[in-house]
Amino acid sequence: MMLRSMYSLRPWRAAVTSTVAATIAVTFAATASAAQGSLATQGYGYPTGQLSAAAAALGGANAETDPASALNPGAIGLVNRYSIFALFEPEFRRTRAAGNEANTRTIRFPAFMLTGAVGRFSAAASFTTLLDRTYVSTLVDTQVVAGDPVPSSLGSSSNGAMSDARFAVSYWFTRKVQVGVAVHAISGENRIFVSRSFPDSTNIGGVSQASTINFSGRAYSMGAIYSPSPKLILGASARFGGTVDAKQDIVLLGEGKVPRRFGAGASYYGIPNTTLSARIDRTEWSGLDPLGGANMSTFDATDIGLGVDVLGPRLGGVATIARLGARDRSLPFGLNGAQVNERTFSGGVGVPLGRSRGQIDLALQRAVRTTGGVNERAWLVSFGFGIRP
Amino acid sequence: MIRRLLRAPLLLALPVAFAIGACSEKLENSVSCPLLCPGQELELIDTLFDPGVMFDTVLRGFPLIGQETPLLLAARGDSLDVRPIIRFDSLARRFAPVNDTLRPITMVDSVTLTFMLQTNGLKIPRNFSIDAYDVGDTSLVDSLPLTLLPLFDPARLLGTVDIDSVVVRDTTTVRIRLDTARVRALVTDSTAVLRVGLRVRSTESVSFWVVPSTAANNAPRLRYRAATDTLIPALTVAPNSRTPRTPLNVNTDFIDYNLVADAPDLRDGDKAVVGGLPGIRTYYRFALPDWLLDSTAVVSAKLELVQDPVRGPDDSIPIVVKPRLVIAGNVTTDLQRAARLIDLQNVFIRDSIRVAPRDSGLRRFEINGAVNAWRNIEGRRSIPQAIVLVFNDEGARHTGLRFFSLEGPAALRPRLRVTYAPNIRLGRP
Repeated sequence: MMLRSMYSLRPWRAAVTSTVAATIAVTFAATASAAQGSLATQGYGYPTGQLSAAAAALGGANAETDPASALNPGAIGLVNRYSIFALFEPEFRRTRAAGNEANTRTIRFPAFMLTGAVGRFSAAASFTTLLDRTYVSTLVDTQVVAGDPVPSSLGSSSNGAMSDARFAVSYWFTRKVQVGVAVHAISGENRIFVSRSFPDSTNIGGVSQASTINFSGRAYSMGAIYSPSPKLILGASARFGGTVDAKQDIVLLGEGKVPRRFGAGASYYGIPNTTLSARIDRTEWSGLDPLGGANMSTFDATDIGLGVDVLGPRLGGVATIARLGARDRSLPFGLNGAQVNERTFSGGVGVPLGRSRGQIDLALQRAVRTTGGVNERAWLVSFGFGIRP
Repeated sequence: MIRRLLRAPLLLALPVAFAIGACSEKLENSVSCPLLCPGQELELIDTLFDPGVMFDTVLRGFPLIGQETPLLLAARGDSLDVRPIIRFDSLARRFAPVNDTLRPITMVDSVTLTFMLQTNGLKIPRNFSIDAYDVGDTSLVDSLPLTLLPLFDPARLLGTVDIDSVVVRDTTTVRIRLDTARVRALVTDSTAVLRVGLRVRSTESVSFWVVPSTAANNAPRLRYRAATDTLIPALTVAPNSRTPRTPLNVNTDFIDYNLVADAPDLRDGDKAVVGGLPGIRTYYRFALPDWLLDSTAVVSAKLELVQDPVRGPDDSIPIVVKPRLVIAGNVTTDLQRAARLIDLQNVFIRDSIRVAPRDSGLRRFEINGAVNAWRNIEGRRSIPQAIVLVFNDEGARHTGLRFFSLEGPAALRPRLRVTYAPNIRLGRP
């Protein structure tokens, strides 16, 4: 019970009003400017991280001990009540490449989770985005048709994601140890549309192809939470990949492995009203390499996060939480063979509502992605909603 | 109160979240491609099928008799002589005097034949004459118009009009006063028919179009008076034909038609021809492989023909030639018939060329729409891989184009250049 009480009842104190105001201001500004980009959408897409809004604000540093992040199945035991978590996370990107600049805006709902507890057992069902592949691009070029060069337009778009549906169970052994296991169903689809068109005056017909890439796979994960002292929580988890295949319509594109993942994290509560967290995570994305073609370069990725949260001002008698974090990771899919790195600085606030029966977590992330002369800057605004009936 | 105020920004978070959620996505990113769009390609392959044409053949006799629109009235020395025939097989033989009952016509007066001339882009001679002959002889076979030629005899002349080019406009209504006695004899004989053959004469070349009977306005009309009483209106007779009686309804084709007395023959050995009089079409049959038709996306299919110059009258005036998809099914083995069952509405092929007959060189016709129509439908090919080349003014001009055929030198034969996208699985990163 010690672990559960530490999560749900620990008091916090910090200034929250300014953080919320800043979040709102940036949100409006980003909507007006409508940024966009596509370094993140290489390969099968962008790994959203499967983090909750609270974990995102901490740079993912507490993800191994966060029950709302769908990583460590052992962590779900930290919630001693029935709970619902949902995440809404729009991203505003600006990509600079070869002297050009492009702005894009993507709206995501990357996570939803239900948890419950009976005695020493807790269970959770979650649906999270593993890889989001959403883009639209148009390229104007010249094609040789019947021996003559003619202007042409190549349109390409994808909608959809590879998703992770997880069912997890955790068991509380002692006051210091709880473990969990989970099964994962990898599913989802990319709805692809590619077209090449020509001006009407050329009298040349266009061509288009609409298809769907479906993913199907399974994986297993296990994790544990260990609290050697009231001031320290350790978490570790691993996901072991089964097979995952990608079919385009009815044609098998390839069969790979669900990326194995190993992660470990720690949260330190030794400083009053302050929690320091750190996490390291290694995901073997190369298991997905067989699903792609020759143009896709896949890299195993290391994810390191550091974060601090402090107690904010009390609102309506309820303590709020202010968070800051930093994160450094590499993305799974490279650009022309070069790996893409992402560095993120984040901040946020968590506000319990209704005598802790609900919670709103806001996070603002500034991500910078770079590789080979191309850079991409993105604002990710995370809205997390938690309900504990 | 202070606590409530502190909650205000917090409560704003919800509407902000919904506001952002209501924003439409803005995913379009074009400026970063192709650098950031590896794999997002749709490769086109340009292939020359030589020979892509399996066989070609020239088919003569288009359009069918009576389907010429407009009619042609032309004369050029001894090289061109085209005479429209207009039938009035049902003459008005009764009239109604004022305040009296219907009675047979016994007198005929003020007989005129009215029709409209249209200029067709050729030079108008300073003076020319149009003769109207009585070519009515129901004993002759309808489908052999040339049997009417002996009837263009001075003894059967019904009337003549001399026209000065000063009065000729783009459209000019012409009235020829016909021989009253000859027409009266026909009107009073219930079995007789009036069939008028028009012939133009001039010291120069002359060519006009005549608005046919199918036109809503200005179709040819025969007009005559049946009484001296001016209160009785003149009778107007529209063209019509009683024969041939079989097949059913074919008689309407013979209401008016062209009699080609003489015209340049555009044919030259085995070369393909389009146009001329009587009109010629060239039929092309292709042999495209199944993999191309059913497993690729064809964006362009150009039939490449090498034009052979045609020297002759009006050879510098550009004409339009169009490819047309043959929609006759595979069961139609008669090519003459198949060449008539074509896509006349330009649904499948919209391309055409406009060149002068005396020109030469490579000509290309975009027939992509036809290639797409040749795909398998539920495992069957409903139509053959065939097109015909059709002259836009078929039956209304004597000129035409000539192309080298499959019998020509190898470098000049018809070829088909196809640009297609292989049906690869696009979207795989």
